[in-house]
Amino acid sequence: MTPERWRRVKEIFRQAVECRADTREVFLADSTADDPEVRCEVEKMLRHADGTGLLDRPAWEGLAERELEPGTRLGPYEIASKLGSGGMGSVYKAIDTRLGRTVAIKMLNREFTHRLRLEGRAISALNHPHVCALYDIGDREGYLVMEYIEGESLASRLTRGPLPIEAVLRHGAEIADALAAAHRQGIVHRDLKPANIMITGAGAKVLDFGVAQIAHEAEPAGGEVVGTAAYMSPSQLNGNPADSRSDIFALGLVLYEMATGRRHSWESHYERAGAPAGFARLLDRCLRPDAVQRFQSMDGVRCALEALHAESSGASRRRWRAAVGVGLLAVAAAAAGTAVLMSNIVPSKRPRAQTAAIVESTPASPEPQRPPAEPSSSPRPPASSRPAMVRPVSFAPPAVSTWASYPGLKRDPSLSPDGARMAFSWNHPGLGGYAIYVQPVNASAAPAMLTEGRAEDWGAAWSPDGRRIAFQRRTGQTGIYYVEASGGAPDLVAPIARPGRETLPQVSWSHDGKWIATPDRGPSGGTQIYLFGVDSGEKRRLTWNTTGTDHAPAFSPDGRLLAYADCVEGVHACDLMVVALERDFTPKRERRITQQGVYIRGIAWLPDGRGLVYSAGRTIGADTSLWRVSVNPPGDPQRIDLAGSRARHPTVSQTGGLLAYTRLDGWALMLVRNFR
Amino acid sequence: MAESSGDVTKLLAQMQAGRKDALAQLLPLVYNELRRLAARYMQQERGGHTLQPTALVHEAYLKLTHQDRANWHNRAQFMGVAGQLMRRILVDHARKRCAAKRSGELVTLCESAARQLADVSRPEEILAVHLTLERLERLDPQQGKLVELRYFAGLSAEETAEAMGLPLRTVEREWAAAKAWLRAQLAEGES
Repeated sequence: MTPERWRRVKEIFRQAVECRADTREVFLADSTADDPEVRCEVEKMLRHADGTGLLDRPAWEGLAERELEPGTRLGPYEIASKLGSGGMGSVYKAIDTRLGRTVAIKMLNREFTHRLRLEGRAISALNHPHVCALYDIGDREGYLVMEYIEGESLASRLTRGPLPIEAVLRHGAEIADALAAAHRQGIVHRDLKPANIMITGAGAKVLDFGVAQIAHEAEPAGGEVVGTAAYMSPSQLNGNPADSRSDIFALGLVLYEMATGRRHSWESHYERAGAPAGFARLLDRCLRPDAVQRFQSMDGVRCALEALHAESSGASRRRWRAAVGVGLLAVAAAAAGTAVLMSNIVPSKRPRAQTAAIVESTPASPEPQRPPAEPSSSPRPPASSRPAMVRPVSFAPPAVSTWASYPGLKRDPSLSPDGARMAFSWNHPGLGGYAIYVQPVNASAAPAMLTEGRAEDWGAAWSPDGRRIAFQRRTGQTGIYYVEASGGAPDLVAPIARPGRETLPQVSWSHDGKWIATPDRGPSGGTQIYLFGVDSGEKRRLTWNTTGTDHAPAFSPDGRLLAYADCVEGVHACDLMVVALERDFTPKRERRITQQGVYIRGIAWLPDGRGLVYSAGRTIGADTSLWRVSVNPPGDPQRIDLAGSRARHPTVSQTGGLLAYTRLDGWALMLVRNFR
Repeated sequence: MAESSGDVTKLLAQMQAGRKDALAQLLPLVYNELRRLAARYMQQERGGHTLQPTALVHEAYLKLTHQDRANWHNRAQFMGVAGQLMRRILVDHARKRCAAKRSGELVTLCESAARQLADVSRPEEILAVHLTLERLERLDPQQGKLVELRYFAGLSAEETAEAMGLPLRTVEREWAAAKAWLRAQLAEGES
């Protein structure tokens, strides 16, 4: 290329760009008839004249920032959008393509990457409903993968004024509960403030244990004071090590701000109509300048908040009964001063029996009359508030393995609620039919056969207490049966019509164990979901599909929702529906979750009751993959890539992070660990 | 060697008057200042608070000339000089980054899934644009200068027009052609 020729290329390029697309070809042919090389060059440039890309951003941009574009892959994570940025880095919404799960990725700026392990270690020690969970660490690239929380930060909520006192007490108790759990692990948050608290449909979530530190470890080098000045306790501001009581102070400030909508200052006086008298006292005890005079344990604060909440809101007391039960136990563990305060306000109502389990995990109850004051700068939280409830969260990535590949077909796996055992159907080649089997998930014990194996027993489902397994018998006396997981003869709950070949055998227990949902043929020809009383045999119709099939019912863990597949024309073209139930299980209202019109082969709830895992393929006969979809808040389905394209009958354990399914190749049972 | 702000102003005036050696004296002054600012900029890795490259050049200019109100004509010339220097700083920086990559330190960042991390793939892009631009400059020095200002110094089309004393329309047209050509070269190779 010569400069002269380049001038010509530029000129023809300029004119060609201005040409209409349909005349461009002719123009090019005319103007470059004598020089094919020029034409070739112009055509090449025209191919790159439109669109965005290289050279659109000046060379400087992005050199200093660590910006991730949507669509960027970080290992198995695909960036969806940026959620915001803070002092230490940026947070992105992303999809874990292995599990189809939405996650939040916190990309730390380079100078903070040394905090990665620290923060990771702090959060990973905490497995708590009101702490944002950590799923993974990108060591080399410097990011944390965390639970994606849909909601509003308390800071943003507070710009619209104070919260109702009921919400202050409820969320306050949740935050205190989260911090108490942290303190038990020897972790102090050290930067509690409204911006680090999210308010979600499921309550408050504490984020950003970024400056959190294991309390008995050394302070950061150079004695630098870490935290946000406005929420630091006087002793912290003076450079003393933060201990659990600094968090108590910060919580006091946050509670004050929640209740008044204003920052606390030393001149502040708390008065708010409608707040229980005990609340002002509680604030006062959180905000004493001298740490010795504050509450001495976060458990004490939580306990006091829960009691105030129960006292002030009769309407929501029921919901809180369990939590108050936990709180009552903590009274004994709290410092004496707290115990005195509590004795005035603990409600007389006795909590339900669930306390037994908690007692087991709490070490021998300390003396109720402990000396009121801890030494003023104890590096550890008070010993009495450190029971050994260590359940570290594994960082291990989700991994799939073949769980059972015995000869013959296996199907309909069902994980017991605690994830310890699996029930499933197997047609042992020697038997000729499908029997229900149960087998420990981890041990190498042989599967125990629970039914005879001459019928077709499908659709095993654990009762919520893990004692019984319900199933559908599809030959002989067709019906819903259950069998004790420890063995014994099956009991017929209710007969059902012989199901269509493509109707899924999936059955589901209500959370109270009193009802079993399953599809049955209705009088009008279609197949609908019915509830059968386990003891009464009572039959109730729940859905009203008159021509197609409603099948694969799944009760949410709290029993308030029932998901199922609503199909037209037999079992083709199905979508997920969720029906909200009254306390007596009468249907309230229905919501369509997907708009796909696909072939659905099994539905399971995620343990948090806010989303579903289901198996679906485009059409009957096409491959079926596992998908995950958020119900609350509504979301788009995401494919669980890890499970491959031949997956059916998903089941999810309520605890333990397990997902199991049937893989059509050889009808083997597959197990995914670290599924969250 | 000239050090003071007065010298920079004087050198700019001499350059304007056509004295070639003025540029030679000006370059190291501006270069040092820009490099200092650039180093600070690179360290300021805080999302949302990033200095704009143009701000960098403006800051260097104000610093070196001590002028509160920019003398627009001198400033345009300064931009021209600065564009060249910024290119050198950026290319040096990119070479270092990619050398570190070759020596193993940044292998995972440069080559793995994290490849798209903006601050890592940029050095490679910068080097590639720099080398291809050298070919364009041989064909059309003015267009090369224009790319330097737009891409390396981060000037807007208007600022580039002002710095080069060209009509805005010409700058836009030349930029479009240069961009298409560079992209084509980088994507499809030399024909």
